[in-house]
Amino acid sequence: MIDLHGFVPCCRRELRRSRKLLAWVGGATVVALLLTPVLHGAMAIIPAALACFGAALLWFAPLGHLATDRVLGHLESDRALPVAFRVMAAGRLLGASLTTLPLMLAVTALMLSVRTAGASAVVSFGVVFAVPALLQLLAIVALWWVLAINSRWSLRRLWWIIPGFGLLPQLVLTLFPERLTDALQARILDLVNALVETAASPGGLAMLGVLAAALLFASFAGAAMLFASGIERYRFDPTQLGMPLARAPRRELRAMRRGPLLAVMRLRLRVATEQFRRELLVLAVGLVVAAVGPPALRDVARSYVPVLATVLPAGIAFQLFLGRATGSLIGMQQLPVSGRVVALGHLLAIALLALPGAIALQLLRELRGETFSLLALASSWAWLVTLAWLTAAIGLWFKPKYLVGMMLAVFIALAAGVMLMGDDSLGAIVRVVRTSPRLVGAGLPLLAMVVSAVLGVPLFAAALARYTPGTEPDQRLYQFQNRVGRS
Amino acid sequence: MPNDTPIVTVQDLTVRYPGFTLGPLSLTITGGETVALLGANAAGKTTLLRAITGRLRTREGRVEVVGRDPLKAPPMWRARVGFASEKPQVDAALRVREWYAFLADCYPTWDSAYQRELTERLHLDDSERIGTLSRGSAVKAAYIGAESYRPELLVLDEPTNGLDPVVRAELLALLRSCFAAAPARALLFSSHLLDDVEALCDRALLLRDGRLIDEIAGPVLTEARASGSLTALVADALRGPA
Repeated sequence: MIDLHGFVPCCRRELRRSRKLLAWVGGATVVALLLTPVLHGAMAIIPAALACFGAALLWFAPLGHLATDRVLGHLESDRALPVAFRVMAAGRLLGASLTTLPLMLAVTALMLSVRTAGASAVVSFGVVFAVPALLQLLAIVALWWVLAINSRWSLRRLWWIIPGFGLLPQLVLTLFPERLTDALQARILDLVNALVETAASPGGLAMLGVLAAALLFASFAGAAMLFASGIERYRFDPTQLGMPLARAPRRELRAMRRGPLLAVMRLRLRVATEQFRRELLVLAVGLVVAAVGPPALRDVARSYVPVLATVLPAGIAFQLFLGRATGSLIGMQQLPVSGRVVALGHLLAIALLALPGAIALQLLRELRGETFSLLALASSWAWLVTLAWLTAAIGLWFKPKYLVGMMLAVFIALAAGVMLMGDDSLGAIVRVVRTSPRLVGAGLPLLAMVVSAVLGVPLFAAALARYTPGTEPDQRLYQFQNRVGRS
Repeated sequence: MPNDTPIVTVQDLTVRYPGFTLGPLSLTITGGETVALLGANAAGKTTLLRAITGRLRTREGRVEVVGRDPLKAPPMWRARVGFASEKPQVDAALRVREWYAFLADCYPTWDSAYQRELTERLHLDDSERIGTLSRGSAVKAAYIGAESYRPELLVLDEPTNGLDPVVRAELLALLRSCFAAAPARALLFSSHLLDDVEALCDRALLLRDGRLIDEIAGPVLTEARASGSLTALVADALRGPA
């Protein structure tokens, strides 16, 4: 007999932790679903696409909770509970799955907005219901495994998810001989055809359903076991608050007496050099591989270098998020310095950290045969600064309750564009964005950088001023442990 | 010796949380005073200290610290108030002396010689990383970070909680010597430990369930110290009517 004590509280806790985001995104998704039949053409796509974006954020919420638990040591406290680790893991995984459910509704809204009027009932049913359901299932299974892997192998940073999912299959395929790849593709096609044929009969469909359910259950059980082994092996290390400490740089920070602006910038750079030493090294190796590596690896390196180039300046945003989670950001808030000066110090650090990435991107362009140009370098640099700075400022300011307001603002802007320019306005915007860098050179990115700086500095300062280090995660943990201990 | 210059003036301060309300409470702390805030867990000590230092954004009532409302004061006002809790509030990767170097660049009144003196007196290894400091060293580091610019009001949140007897004695001795001859400065600290009150303070404010219920000062405090009845006095007050 399996003792399921603690399963429901663990599941409920996972849901409760995302409840604000879930409420806002769920509400926005329902609104999008209701709006879709009323609106037409591009206008109908906008709310559905925005709802999909919001729902995608929900997928990351359980990952954020796990990261918080690892950083603050809550996993160790959980281990003291009278609950089996596998039950605890299963409860968390189920709670995380339920958190992502608005994704299906959002994709349904999107499918409703893009389906063609003349399609048959079967095709319409497939597009509107089967595709969202399938996507939801895939998202849930992927979430189980990402959570389980992050629990077991202490991957504090989640940077590996996108390159891992995006590039690993590509790398594996490029390593196989072409003959083998073709054969593999042919076998996959055969399998899909066989599945479709089997699904044509009611008996076959039922059999496939049972097979899918068994696979799903096996996947859930496997992920829960891996997650549980992560809980079992976890050791809280107060010295590693979210950032593994590498060997400290020999060159220490010393007082310069040149004012707080440079002091803040130097502090951020000092932490970043330790935080991203490995990434800098990988960036250099990636460039060498992209230049002289074997063809199979060259493409992968060329795809991965831009990711690393973006990650380096965005590391400042990571430092801020970590400070916000651990409460150390209050130290910045209480400096006898205006919040705008602190913000500018961060912006300067980002601008400097974007340089290696911009140079790497420029070298990558040269490898593709484009000639070196200072304008292109300035353009890459400005885009990197803009992206990293907006991530830092908006990330510091953001609260889940702002999400709907932000989505509404984007909706109004896009809807106004559609009303003014007709249904093709979305395509026109995409075309302008694609061609504008060539049309205006570095002008657009530099303008974007200046605008983001002008808007981001007061936003950052306001967010820093209102920051209150909460003891919420600890209080929630305490309440949860009391509840589980009593039940 | 205490003088008449008010350093902290609090009038009808109220902070509301779901399930807990601090206040309304009023108090005044003048220059030269060392004041202890005593109370059981969840009595509201930390909330009161956070309200006084401007770390709490939502509150009612009037709070004035060195002449300004913490929520409306210009940034430079923060150089007149020091706050230290159980650990330095900065990135864990920094060495302690790197953090001090950073603070020296930010605080115009930072006294590096004084900081070195405090570091030596407390036997703190400032080459250690913030993240690897033991509890006692973290408390010392945080205290030095808040004291080295000689703020007019120094606020310490349970400075001796969890410290071993040697470190505790070192810290109390240092606090005594720093504030003994500083008539323009005031020290406000929260504690569970009556030994701290005995060793350090001119006045003890007793907090229970978010309310200031009593105050022990002057002859009463002196007599209680001398007769060894301070513990019973405070315990009776905090326990409340039977």
